[in-house]
Amino acid sequence: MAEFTTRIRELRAARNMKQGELAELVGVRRETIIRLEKGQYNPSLKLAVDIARVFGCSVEEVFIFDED
Amino acid sequence: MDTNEKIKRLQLRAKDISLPRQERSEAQEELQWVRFRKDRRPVVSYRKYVFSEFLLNASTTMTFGFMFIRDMIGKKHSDWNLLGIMYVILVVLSLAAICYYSHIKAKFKTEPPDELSKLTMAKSANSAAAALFIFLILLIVAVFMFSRVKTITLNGSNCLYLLVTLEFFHATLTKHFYLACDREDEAAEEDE
Repeated sequence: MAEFTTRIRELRAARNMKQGELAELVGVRRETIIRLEKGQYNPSLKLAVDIARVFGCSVEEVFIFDED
Repeated sequence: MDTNEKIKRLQLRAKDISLPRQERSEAQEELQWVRFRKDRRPVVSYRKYVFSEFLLNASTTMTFGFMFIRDMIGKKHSDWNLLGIMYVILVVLSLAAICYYSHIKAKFKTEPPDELSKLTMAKSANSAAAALFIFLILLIVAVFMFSRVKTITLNGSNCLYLLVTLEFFHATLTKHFYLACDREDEAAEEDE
């Protein structure tokens, strides 16, 4: 089963962006961003694309799937 | 685009039945967020709002549950005694919960539920329905056991109390499971 890790924290830090700011930009709660960063939640396609657009990256650059 | 124009456009999209349900739902969500940003009241978290609903539902459940039990076992103890005092306490608690909920709704703007909140709430509702089903089975067994006792009565009045109690009990359980699943992790707090 494929699992994924996210680079959201790293990309946020590079842009000096707080969790709350990112949450407001993509229209979710800060708790959702926290759980995404910890890998506790699989986002919907729309949310994944919205986050990738905020960082100016592709979805694959933000969410890295580790195939077994 | 002006905010009011954006709101009007989103309202039209949300009500346009020619659009697929998914698009209308997304328009409705975006409308909630636009209104949220426009609102200048201080913010209360969705979790806190759900907690206020939990208190309201719990107090209502206890009040109607108490009225059901009191109505079922008869009115032998209807004067100023322990049952009467309990009833007064429950009514006061219910009124306090109503005041707290009204205060939250009036003074604060609630952040709209996002996809994770909706998913968690749906799972909580399923869990609450399962718990309620088990409770109903136990209740039916208890009714059959106590039906031999002459002081137990079931009529239209206490059946109404029972239905209201079960409805609010389900809502209380749903909010409780949501709050348990949506625990805030203090370790994830950022340094401001």
